[in-house]
Amino acid sequence: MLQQTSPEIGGMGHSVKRKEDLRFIQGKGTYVDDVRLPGMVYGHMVRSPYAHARIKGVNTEAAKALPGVLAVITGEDLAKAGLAWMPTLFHDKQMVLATGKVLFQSQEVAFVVAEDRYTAADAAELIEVD
Amino acid sequence: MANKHAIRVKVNGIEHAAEVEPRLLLVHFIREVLALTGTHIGCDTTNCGACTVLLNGRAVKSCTVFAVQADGHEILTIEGVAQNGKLHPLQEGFKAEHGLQCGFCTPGMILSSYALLAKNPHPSEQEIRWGISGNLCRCTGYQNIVKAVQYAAGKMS
Repeated sequence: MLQQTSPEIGGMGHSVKRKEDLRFIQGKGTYVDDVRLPGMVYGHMVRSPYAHARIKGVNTEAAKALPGVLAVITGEDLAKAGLAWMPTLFHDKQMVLATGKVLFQSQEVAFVVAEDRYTAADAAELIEVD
Repeated sequence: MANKHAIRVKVNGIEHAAEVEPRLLLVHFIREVLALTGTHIGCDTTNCGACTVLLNGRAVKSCTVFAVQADGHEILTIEGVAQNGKLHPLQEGFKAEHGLQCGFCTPGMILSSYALLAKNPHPSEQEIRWGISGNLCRCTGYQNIVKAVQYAAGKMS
C-alpha cells in the first residue's frame, strides 16, 4: 500500500520543490572555481607524458625566473621536507609529486604557483623534465 | 606578454571595453574580467558544454573562443537570460521539471536550448536531444532536461 501523508502535512508521497534551484538557474551559484579571495594565487600541475619512466632531473630555473612565478615545487623539494609520500584516506601512502620514477601517465611531477593562471601555465611549459 | 588588444564586447546588453592578451579565452574574460561566474568551466577541452554562451545568438563553447574574437559582438550569458527580474521560460522549465541537481551544467544547457528554441520553436524530442548533445550532465540525466525544454517550448508558443 502506498504510504502517503495528508497534503496539508506534505512530506511522504509528495514531491518537493527544491529551494536551491533559483540560484543555479540564474548563474548565481557559488562553486569552488567561483571563489575569489584576497591575495589568491594560482597553481598549475606538470604531469608526465609517459606511463613509466625514470626522472633523471627536473630543471625549474627558467620557470622560477618568469615574472609572476612565486614557487616551483618538485618531488625532490617535497622529499627534503619529508612530504613526498603522504597518507591517504585508505590508510596507504602515495607519492604527492613523483620522485625518481613516474608510474603512470599524467602522474604529477611538478607544481607551479603564480600570480595568475596564464603565468602559471607558461611557467609549467618552461620546466624541463629529463 | 605586453601585447594587448583593446576590445569592446556587449555582454547581456551592457557594453564592456577591455585590454586583453590575444590568447585570453572568452570564458576567462567572462568569468574573471567581468566576474560573471555563472558560466562554468567543466573540462577545458570543449567536450562538456558547461561554458556555453551565445555569441550573436549562436551557441558557442566559450573555452574555445578567444576574447578578441568577440570584439564588436554580442554575448548572452546565463546572468542575462532572465529579463527585468522575470525568469525565462527555460529557467522556469528547469525548475518545474527537475532539470537539475548540482546545477553545474545548467547554464550551458539553458543557453544551448535558448539557441535551439530561437531557431526551432517547436522541436521534437529528437531535435531537443540533438540540440543539447554538446552539453554533458553527470547527475540529473537528460530525461528531465528534455522535459524542461519541452515545458519552455510550450510556454513560449
